[in-house]
Amino acid sequence: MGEILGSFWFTIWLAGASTGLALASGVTLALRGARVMWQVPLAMPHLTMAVVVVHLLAPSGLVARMVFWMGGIGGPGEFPDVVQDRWGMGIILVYALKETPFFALMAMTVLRRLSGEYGAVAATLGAGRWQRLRYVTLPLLAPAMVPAALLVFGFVFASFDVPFLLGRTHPAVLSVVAQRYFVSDREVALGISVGMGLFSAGLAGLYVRLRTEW
Amino acid sequence: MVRYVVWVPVVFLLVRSWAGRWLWPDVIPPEWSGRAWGAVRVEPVVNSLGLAAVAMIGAVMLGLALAGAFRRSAWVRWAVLTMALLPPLAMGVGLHGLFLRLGLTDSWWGVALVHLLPTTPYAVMAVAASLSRFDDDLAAQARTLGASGWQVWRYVKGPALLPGIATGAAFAFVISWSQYVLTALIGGGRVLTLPMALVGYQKSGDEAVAAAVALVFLGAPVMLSVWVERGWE
Repeated sequence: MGEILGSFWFTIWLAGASTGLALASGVTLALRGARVMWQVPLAMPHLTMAVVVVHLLAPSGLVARMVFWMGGIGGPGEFPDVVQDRWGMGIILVYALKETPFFALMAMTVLRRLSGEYGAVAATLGAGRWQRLRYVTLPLLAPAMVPAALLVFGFVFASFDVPFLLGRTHPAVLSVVAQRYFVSDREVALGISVGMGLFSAGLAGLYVRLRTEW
Repeated sequence: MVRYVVWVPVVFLLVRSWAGRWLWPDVIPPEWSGRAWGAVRVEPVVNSLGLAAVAMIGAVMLGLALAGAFRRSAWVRWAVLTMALLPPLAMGVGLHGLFLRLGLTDSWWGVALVHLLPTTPYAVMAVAASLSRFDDDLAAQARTLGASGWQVWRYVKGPALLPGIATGAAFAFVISWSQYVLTALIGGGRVLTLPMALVGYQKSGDEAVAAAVALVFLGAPVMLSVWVERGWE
């Protein structure tokens, strides 16, 4: 039971951290009006991104080799293990990169509708750049971004493939733990599945209540 | 600069798939080889395409059937959203017993059927979004002018819902295409798809073949999304 609870918190941590990072970078890119071909990362399957992250950032990966070549480290063992570390940094990175375009596109849709008039009014009233962002733009973005963040959080919470490919044996996310039990003790696997299902149903209920336009 | 960052994974995978043995500490591949591309099999590609096609058609049909109820009832919205957020592993574990009794495990059609679960909610939401922009008076006017039920669908409502149908179909394709654990659980390893091949090669440590499979795996969704985007402009 302790193992399952620990894995629950680990799953929550991964989902929260990836969602937070993707939200921050997505909104930042949208505010700066970055012109990017969003379709490429948006349509890229998560597993592809996971494979790229492993090949680039593993202790003997391309980035470690470049650092070694420049004399930064003495061997592959000295490169920080960001792919299979205790905190799931590799998994977080994959989801943060993958979901950034989703938030960026969503924020850009809202920003286009606003057309800057509110900001102009606030500026006339003497609001600075930071004040306009803090009291005008961000509150106007929130109604669209909060439900979107909930969706991404739920998606990462539910996911199996990326943590399965990238994660360590321990700690592992709930889906991976349940899959291991599916082979050894099916009752436990069913129990974890029901628990995860109820959690997802709760998130879905929250989403339905938060989103007003359908 | 940011503009070109999105191509980094693609360029890297291309180099990795054509590089032969490329070990520490080489930054530049010491040799080039077509071995990885020769090892890419056709079977997973055909399976993935077929499953995604079935999911597309099935999910859009269910989407059209359920979109109205989705618009009217908050309970239906909750049920559909729950389906969308339900962990694929939980779905697989929960349905495995039932599929076993029905003789649908380890079979292509069993996997195709189970792919409808994660794909349908997105088709419902996409069609419902188009439906919310559709003015029902237009259908009423067509009826007043003597159009039959079929004609109203064919010439008025259907064309108006087309963007939602296309978006829903694209979503269904991509979600089915990326599905790993449901395929593994219900297909029992007998139905080999691209994500399963990718995980297999990556876990066995054959990085070059994993990179080649990852590129094939990337191709269809990217082409599809570029095409959908072009369609609207």
